[in-house]
Amino acid sequence: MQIIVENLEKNFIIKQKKEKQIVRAVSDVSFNIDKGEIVAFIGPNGAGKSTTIKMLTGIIEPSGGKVKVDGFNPSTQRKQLAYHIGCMFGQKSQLYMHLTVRDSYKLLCSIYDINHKEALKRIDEIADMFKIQDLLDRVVRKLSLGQRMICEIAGSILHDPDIIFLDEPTIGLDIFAKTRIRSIIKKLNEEKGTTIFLTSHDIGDVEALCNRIIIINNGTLVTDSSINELKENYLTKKKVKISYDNIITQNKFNYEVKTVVDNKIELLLDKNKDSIGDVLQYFTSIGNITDIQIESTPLEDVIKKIYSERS
Amino acid sequence: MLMEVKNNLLYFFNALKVSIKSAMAYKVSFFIQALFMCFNNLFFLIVWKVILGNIPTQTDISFDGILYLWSISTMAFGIAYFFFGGINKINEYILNGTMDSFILQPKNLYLNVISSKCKFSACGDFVYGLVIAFIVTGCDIPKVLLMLLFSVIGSTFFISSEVILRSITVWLGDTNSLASRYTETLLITFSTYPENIFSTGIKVLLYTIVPVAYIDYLPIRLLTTHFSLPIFIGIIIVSTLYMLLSIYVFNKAMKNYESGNNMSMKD
Repeated sequence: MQIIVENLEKNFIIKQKKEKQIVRAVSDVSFNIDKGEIVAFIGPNGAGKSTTIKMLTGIIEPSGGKVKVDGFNPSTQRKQLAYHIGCMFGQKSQLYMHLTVRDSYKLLCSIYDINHKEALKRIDEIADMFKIQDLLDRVVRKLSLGQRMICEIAGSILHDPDIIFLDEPTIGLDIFAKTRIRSIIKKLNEEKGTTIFLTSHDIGDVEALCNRIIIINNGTLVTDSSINELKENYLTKKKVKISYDNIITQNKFNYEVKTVVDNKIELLLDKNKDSIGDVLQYFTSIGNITDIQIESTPLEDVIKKIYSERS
Repeated sequence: MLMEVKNNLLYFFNALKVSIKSAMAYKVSFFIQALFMCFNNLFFLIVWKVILGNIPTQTDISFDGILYLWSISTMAFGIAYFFFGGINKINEYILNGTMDSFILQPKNLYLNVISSKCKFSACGDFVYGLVIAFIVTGCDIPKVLLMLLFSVIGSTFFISSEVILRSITVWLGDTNSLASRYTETLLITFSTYPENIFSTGIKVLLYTIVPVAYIDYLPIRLLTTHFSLPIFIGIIIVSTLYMLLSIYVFNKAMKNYESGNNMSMKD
């Protein structure tokens, strides 16, 4: 196991009108992550995602529980651990706004004790991998948000870490930049076997990248399963939209119909109860079908459901 | 261990180079800041010259004594804030969560944070102090070097005070005002006035909680009367104790650091 988290806890003390109040940000969270996994760590705002990441990376100390990341205790072995992990927080930049990307990278290399010659080689390799050669000599503050995010990710792997923590890497980006960042993350995982620990509010990131999902809410673990398991257990409903060539006059059906508007019927099927074949056969007998759409419940809705059911 | 020290030093010089390069993005502003700092300091010396030439004083204050004070205190200030300008950003780093990026780096956190910035106007203070040192000693190189050594030791008091007073932001909320008042009103002001104008009560303060005596009063005594090794060692011991106290308070504060999620960028 590359990341071991057992009964992790974090309490914050908040002072309100001379009274101290203990707020449990993270409570009894346990999970393990293997080398090479891409894991989504998601939850609504204030769920405890960032607090957990900060404990895993040594930024803050846990109030209780045990954490091992790549064999190191983040609280007591911060410096040793730093050589093995890369971090990219969408809301915080590790690049220097008044410097060029290349100069920022040189300083980052120096932080990780990479000598000058090796640093130049590494910067070229990374620029090649991320296709950012044209950005290297541009001043960081003049980059677009999408370009900066790509440069941030590239900067976080200059020292070739085993694990990368990405906290909302696509925050505020348009669809093109998001797609590019997702493909870069995927490539990193596939080519270098880097373990990716990702938090995001964008379910698109989760669907495109992750094979496992850990959901946290109100500081406690809600679900830890593979995306396939999650779909298997929660994506049992299918929305079917059928269009006919004539207006539907019938008002009683053998199946649960949600709406009937003119020549269109919308129904919700439970794949555990209803056979799609039987359903189609029945609705074909009603009239001449001109169009059929079958939609699965979006993962986003599944997650919303999990948040509300288990919080 | 030696390797770690070497790597930390290498990183320190690289970070310094980067800070200077950052400042060079605004060259004109950089030179104007440094130049105005020199003029600002020169103005005070002119005032002292006028006062000492026109108003009879009961204490034995000489203009040379004033030059020694200004030279060592401005060089000490210049060294502290030029090389370790991060010292007056610690409260900001704590409040807006920028400290995260320093914690994530495999470097000594204390050194990494204090050397994270350069205060460019401090360059002007240092140059000004050095020029005064040459003037007051009549270009006596060994004496100037000794003054430089005392300035380096004196700079540790500025560094320690800033680190202590800004690290306690973790417990007290933003201490920017407290730290600025302490360094500007107490350390800097007292270090530019001669010791013998103060009463015994104030002198006790200047040898304890506002350690100005170790920045320039005692060094000037060693430079202008006779050199006393016990006093010299005493100054080094007190400066080391202040540094150790600042490291202790800083580390304690970092244990209680709670981070934050503000949007931020390094400059």
